[in-house]
Amino acid sequence: MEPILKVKDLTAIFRRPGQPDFTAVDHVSFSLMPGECLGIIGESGSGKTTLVNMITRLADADEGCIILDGEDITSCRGRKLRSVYRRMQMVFQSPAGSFDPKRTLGDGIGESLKNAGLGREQTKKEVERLLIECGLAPEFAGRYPHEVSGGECQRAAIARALAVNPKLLICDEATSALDVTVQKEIIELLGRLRKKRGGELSILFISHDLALVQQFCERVLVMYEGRIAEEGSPDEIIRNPQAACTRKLIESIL
Amino acid sequence: MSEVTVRVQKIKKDTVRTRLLIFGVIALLLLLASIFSEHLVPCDPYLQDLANAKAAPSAAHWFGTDRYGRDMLSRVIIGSRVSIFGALLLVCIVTLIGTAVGILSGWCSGKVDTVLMRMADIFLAFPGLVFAMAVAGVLGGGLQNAIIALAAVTWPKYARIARSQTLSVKELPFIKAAKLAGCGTLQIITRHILPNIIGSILVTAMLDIGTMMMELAGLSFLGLGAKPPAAEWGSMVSDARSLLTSAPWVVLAPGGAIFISVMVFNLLGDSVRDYADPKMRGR
Repeated sequence: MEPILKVKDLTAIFRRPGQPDFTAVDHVSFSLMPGECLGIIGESGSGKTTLVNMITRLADADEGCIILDGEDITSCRGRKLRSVYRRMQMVFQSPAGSFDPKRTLGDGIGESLKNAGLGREQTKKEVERLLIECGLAPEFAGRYPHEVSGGECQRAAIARALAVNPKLLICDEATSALDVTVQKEIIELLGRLRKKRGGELSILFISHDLALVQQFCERVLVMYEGRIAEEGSPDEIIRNPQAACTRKLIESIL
Repeated sequence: MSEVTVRVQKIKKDTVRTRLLIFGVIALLLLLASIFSEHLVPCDPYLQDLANAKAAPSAAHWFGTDRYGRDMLSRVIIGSRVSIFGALLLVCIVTLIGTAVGILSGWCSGKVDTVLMRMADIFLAFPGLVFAMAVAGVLGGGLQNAIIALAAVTWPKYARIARSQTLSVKELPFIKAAKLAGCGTLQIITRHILPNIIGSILVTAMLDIGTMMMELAGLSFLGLGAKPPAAEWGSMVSDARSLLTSAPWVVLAPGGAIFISVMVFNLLGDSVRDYADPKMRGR
């Protein structure tokens, strides 16, 4: 089977004047199968977010290539990039920060639909359907980001990401800013949404929390200093960690 | 937060709102007066009556008459059109240009940013009114050129505000989210950046209306603004300054008009700023 996402030798180098270059992501390669949920864990500064920014094309890669659904998207821009975003969506770390403070949640969720050419009425209907699917009342479409809680906002963010029915959903620390009970709800929601879509939705789940990844992912990559230190099923990695950094992560949650 | 603090905040908020309302209404009245000035004047502001020159304020001429016997009250009222409208027009032009340049510069960064901001620096390096005098001097007198001259020295301020705000907004996650939602650059700027930065720009613009009025009157006083016989407060003060001892009302009428309207617009600007302050919104 063709992987939905294939990343090969992806590298990001930060060039800083007066200081040596810093390699944030160093020749990272992995692939993600359709319907699979892959976790990437690592301490802060290990290059997770930089990696995600490159995959979502919010930042340019210095080396390597990204293949989404058989198409090389490493350096695509403009119109082509917009069609890529119909297959790949993302949930951000900060719930409130990922919605425009001057616009309602409904506006934010429906934006991609409007941009895809859907009419006003249809967009409204679709937004309400998405909100209900993500466990929120349709009234939330008229609320502003500062009027809802972090968990509600993150549900809306998931609704926004799923609006275009993407094949790949990237969650960049999507639960890190929430407290534990809400974290669990969001994870359960993601699990439910995934099950409903069967093999249609693959998830790349970025986190620093090994316990969450264990609950949710079939396979996990451990990143350390920009490289992949270890790869395997979560249980395997927890039971028998090979790399020192993995052991450190495991110790920190016990 | 304690009960008392909440109450104090509420009182503050209420006074701010009342102030905004009062000055807003006064400013609106001034504006309406300037729009309908032609219908408000009791006499023809350009009609000369040399037999009645330099007459002291009386029932017939509330503010007296000038050296050609023209009714001062009518001239002050008709002059409001140039003074108030000129200032508003100037602020609008400057806000539009400054904001556009600032957003462009903040969004593009790199070379475009450097070029635009160095240009702004060049304009900022000159003392405002002196540079405006030079520009007005080169372009010749006239209200239009005075507005162009003042716009040239004021836009960099707005460009800087817009730029710094754009720089801080464009790094926020919701801009990334907009990109992922398939928005183009123009859409992101108009739908997401502009609404988030317009507040502070508008407040600055409100605060600047009074200043602009002063500078416009200043240029006219120096003979670089409105041309006589057109009634304009600055040039009216200038024309009559030799009469300060013999017929002080000829100077005091337009001078007082400048003083009052500048103060009203400044206080309005202050109130808008206080009102726009998020700490005052009591949330």
